[in-house]
Amino acid sequence: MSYLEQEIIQVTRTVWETVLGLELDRLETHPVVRDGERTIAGSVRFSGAWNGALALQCPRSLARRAAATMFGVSLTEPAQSEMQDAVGELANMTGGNLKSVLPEPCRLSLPSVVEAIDSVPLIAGMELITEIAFDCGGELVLVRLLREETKVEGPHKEIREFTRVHAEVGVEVIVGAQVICTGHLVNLSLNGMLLLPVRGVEIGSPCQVTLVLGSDGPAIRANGRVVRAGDDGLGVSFEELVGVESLEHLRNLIRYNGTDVRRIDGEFECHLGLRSEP
Amino acid sequence: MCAESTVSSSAILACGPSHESRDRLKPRPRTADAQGSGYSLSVLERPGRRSDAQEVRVRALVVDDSRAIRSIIGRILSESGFEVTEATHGGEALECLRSAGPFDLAMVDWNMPEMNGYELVSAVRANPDWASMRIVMVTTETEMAQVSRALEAGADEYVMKPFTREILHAKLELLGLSMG
Repeated sequence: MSYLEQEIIQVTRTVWETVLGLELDRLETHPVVRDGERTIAGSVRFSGAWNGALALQCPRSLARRAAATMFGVSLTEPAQSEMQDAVGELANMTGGNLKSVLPEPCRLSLPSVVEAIDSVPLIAGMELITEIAFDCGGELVLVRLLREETKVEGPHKEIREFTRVHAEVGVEVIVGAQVICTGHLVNLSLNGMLLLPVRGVEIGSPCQVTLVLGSDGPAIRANGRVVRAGDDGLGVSFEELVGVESLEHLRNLIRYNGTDVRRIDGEFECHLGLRSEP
Repeated sequence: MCAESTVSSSAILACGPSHESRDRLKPRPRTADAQGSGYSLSVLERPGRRSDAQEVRVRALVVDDSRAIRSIIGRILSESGFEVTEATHGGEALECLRSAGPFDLAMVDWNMPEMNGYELVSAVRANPDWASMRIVMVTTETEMAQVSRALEAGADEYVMKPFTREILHAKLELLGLSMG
């Protein structure tokens, strides 16, 4: 049995039944997020004696139902922001109730919400410890508990969370509607990538990244954010990988260019969830 | 924001400043022209106040950064006859109190940006003008220490999320604010 599995099941069911009047059935094995399916994921972070996050992800259609109930409107009425607010609040209530069984003292963050298309968003530096899947009238609800990794200092006192590799791939980075960078990688990890310096890019800008494997090979597509923009290079943090194939290509690329395949596989197995805000 | 909730309620309550009269709330049968969940109060005489039909609704301020929770609480209160105003965090709630107060009831979330619920309760209780406003903390924080802290700061009651309509009504009843 996974950590706090029963507690998560109980709290999640109570929240959904009390707030939405919807029953959740536990799925012992669960399908992956379907191709092309648009999902909304909300998360809250715990900090203090226990550091981690609780993330709740469901299809947009279910988020719409939740928003309609919570806002007291018909199914056609909820706006995008209302669906996000509904999922964020469901995550908040679930995390808030779960907090009482976590080691004290422990603080709860405000909820954050992201949208994903046929993908599982990422949280950097978090390890997946419990994942529960529920069926809600034929739709999949995923609840994940993630724990912050213990950071280990490397030989040069550099904190590394993920294996970084050098890879010969073409890169295109788009900020807004503008291509700001085409070129080659300095390094790449599950977490993001570093490129040669690019002028005039603001830290925090959202961006779309395409990594092309070979001259006409498959592409890895990701949505991310600029986290470094100085003389030492342009750093991009991946927030979500677009399409299931992007995840597989990224895994293969890092495995192929890395040295510790076991560790790399472990990183991919353990770091699915929601990315924190940069 | 400090916006009156768009959830309509036709319930009219005739009373003086309701915080002074909450223990004398007396529901009476709905009149023919009162639509919705109407309850009325016996008109109370106050010095310097009109005793004729100056009808004032019982006013509630719902403070939560989540629109969904504001909507749920606002709907329950409106259907119970409250006039509902919304604020998205503690700072905005204080502005509402200064510009649109007094309120009879504040439903206050714990975990909010800018000014959290605990800070808001402390600020409200530091101002004698708002001393009679009843405060209900609405929180996901389930530890008793957290609840005790809120009550010590001046909250009158607390309700934990998720809550049902019945639980909320029961809490209001405890405060003498039940309209149903």
